Amino acid sequence: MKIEILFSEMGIYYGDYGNIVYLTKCLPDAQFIYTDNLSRPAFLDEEVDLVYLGSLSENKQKLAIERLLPYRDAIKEKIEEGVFFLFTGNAIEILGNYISDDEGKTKALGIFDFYSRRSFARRLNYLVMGKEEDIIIVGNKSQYSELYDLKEKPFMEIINGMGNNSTDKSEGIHYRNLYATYLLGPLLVLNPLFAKKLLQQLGHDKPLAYEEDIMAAYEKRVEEMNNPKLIYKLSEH
Amino acid sequence: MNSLSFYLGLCSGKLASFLLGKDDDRPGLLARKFDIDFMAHAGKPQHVLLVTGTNGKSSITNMINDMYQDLCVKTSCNANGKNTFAGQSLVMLKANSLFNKPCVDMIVMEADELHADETFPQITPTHLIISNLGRDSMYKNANPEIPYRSLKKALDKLKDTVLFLNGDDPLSCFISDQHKRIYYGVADLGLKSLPSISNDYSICTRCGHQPIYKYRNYRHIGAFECPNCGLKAPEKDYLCTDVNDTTITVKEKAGSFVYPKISDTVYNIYNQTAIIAYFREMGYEAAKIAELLKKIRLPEFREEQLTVNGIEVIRRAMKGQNASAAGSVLQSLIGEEGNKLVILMEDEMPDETTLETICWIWDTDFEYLKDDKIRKIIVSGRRHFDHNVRLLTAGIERSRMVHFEDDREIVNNLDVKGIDKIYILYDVEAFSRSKLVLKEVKEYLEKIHED
Repeated sequence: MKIEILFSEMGIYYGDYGNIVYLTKCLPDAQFIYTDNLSRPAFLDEEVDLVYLGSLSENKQKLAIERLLPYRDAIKEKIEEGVFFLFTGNAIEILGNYISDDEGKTKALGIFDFYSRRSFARRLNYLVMGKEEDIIIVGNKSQYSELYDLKEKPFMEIINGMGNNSTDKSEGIHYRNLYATYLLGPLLVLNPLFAKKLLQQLGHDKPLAYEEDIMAAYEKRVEEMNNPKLIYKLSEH
Repeated sequence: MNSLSFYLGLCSGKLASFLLGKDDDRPGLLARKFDIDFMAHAGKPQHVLLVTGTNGKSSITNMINDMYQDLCVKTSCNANGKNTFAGQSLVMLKANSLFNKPCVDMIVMEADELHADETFPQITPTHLIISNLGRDSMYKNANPEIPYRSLKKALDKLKDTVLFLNGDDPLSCFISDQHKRIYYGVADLGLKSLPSISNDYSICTRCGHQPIYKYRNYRHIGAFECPNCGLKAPEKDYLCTDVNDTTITVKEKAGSFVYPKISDTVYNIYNQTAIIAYFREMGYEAAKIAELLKKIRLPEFREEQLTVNGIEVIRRAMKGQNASAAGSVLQSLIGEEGNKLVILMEDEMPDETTLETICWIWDTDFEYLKDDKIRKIIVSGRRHFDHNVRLLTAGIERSRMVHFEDDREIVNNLDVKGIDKIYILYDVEAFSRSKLVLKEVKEYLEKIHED
């Protein structure tokens, strides 16, 4: 199996690195390709099973868009062909039409018909619990942006916490084999049931790495997040 | 300025401060409530020093303030670490009389970097130390670009401020080319600085290529250089060239001078070099600074050390939610001699209404704990299952660790055979828990010695 990690050298933020670590532990025999921002992505020229992109700082996100824009049509083609993609944190914004903020508009890849509006005056910090088909998803959001006009099937429906924006109870995108969610941090570690499903879809039908340990952490978190006293909206500042 | 609002803020703030005690920062909030620009309107002594940056600002501020106290210089300082609007306003309150005349010789203030654009122009520092920038709490600071942006905006409005910059920190050392700048740094200490999983300077900020390091003292701090565009660490005005068991040597234009060492940790050597650079620029003789440093201790909320029956017990703050600080602390363990037992107490959840994010542990270099001198790791706290997974993925064998929720279990799991040092690493919010555990560990060590 081949996994391509895009721009990991750019300093992935907010714990998204955990997804890469965990994939390497679950798939010890897989080939991992780490593509830096100066190189042409491998998945454009060879068969890659899963492409991962995580959270980036705002300047680096802009750089990532610049690097990927020349391949926009090819990326769209690969998505249609059924290549697996996993985008976490603000990587999802790259897939929309543009990102706007106080300083102007940044054209994005325009693969999906939505846009992101960012305000540095307000950081939105939330706990999130949602449902991806029959799987309970838990995690965190911490972002300056909100996403608008998403029309694709969502990654999950929100049970508690913030969706694509303050009024939307849908979250992320699930289109063919592309999963994109604004949940950040170690999505696969926090959500072993989803990790298992994704790996099974990729043809890997073995136990997860440290499955018992990771399930114990997941069950404890789900239990705590079901507590009605728990405050999901952490802060907006 | 509406002087009535300001004076109402000043008087009510002073009264509240008198009633609530010196460490309560609510009087600062009260003063701002009357006058949102309270800090701008407050009187300023001739010398206003701000200390900011992701890590080290509390330690630097406290030590500089202690040294001034020793010099009988009267300061107003937020030594308690309350460094946002309330704490800063309180410092201004304490710096002035009821007639808004400065009643101290100087202000020494730790200042939050995130809101620098708003607060610094009000405080108008004459001198500013920026210790470093790195990843911090994602909820608060997002990523290092955000405080950088705020600091840059602040400096655009403060043309006369003298800057003390860490020349080994690529994220903050180029923040201005308009100000008078004093660069400090530390030479190659020959440390085993392992690559960091969360590299904050992975690509050159100017051209996007991968930088190289002649040496790296910790994380992204060191002699960096971009092989493509040539952007590199500036020459240092004050360079710590040598560190031994008890002293450090700092080279400057006037020569090399030896000072007592205040801590073994590399990040504190940077902090100390910043302090020396600052006092030298203030005109103090090196010998005088050395004399002052002899009496200096790190703030108790950062580190405490004792020896019980031949075993050193070190209680060291390891800020949770801040991967750069936590990673630096973990790295510091490798450089220290002896077989070690590590107690991790990193959770900061006060009750069931809160649930701490553990994203930061995946940005933190727990891989450093693989060091074979670290014989056992004890994890305690509500997120112990998550820490267990993180440590396993970091390559720590199950046989070397235990984890549980209740701190009272810690002493039952102490196995000190062959152990030279016990580290209690705690989140700053777990300060009182760490003190309690230190007491229990001490009692345990005394008891097994008697037995």
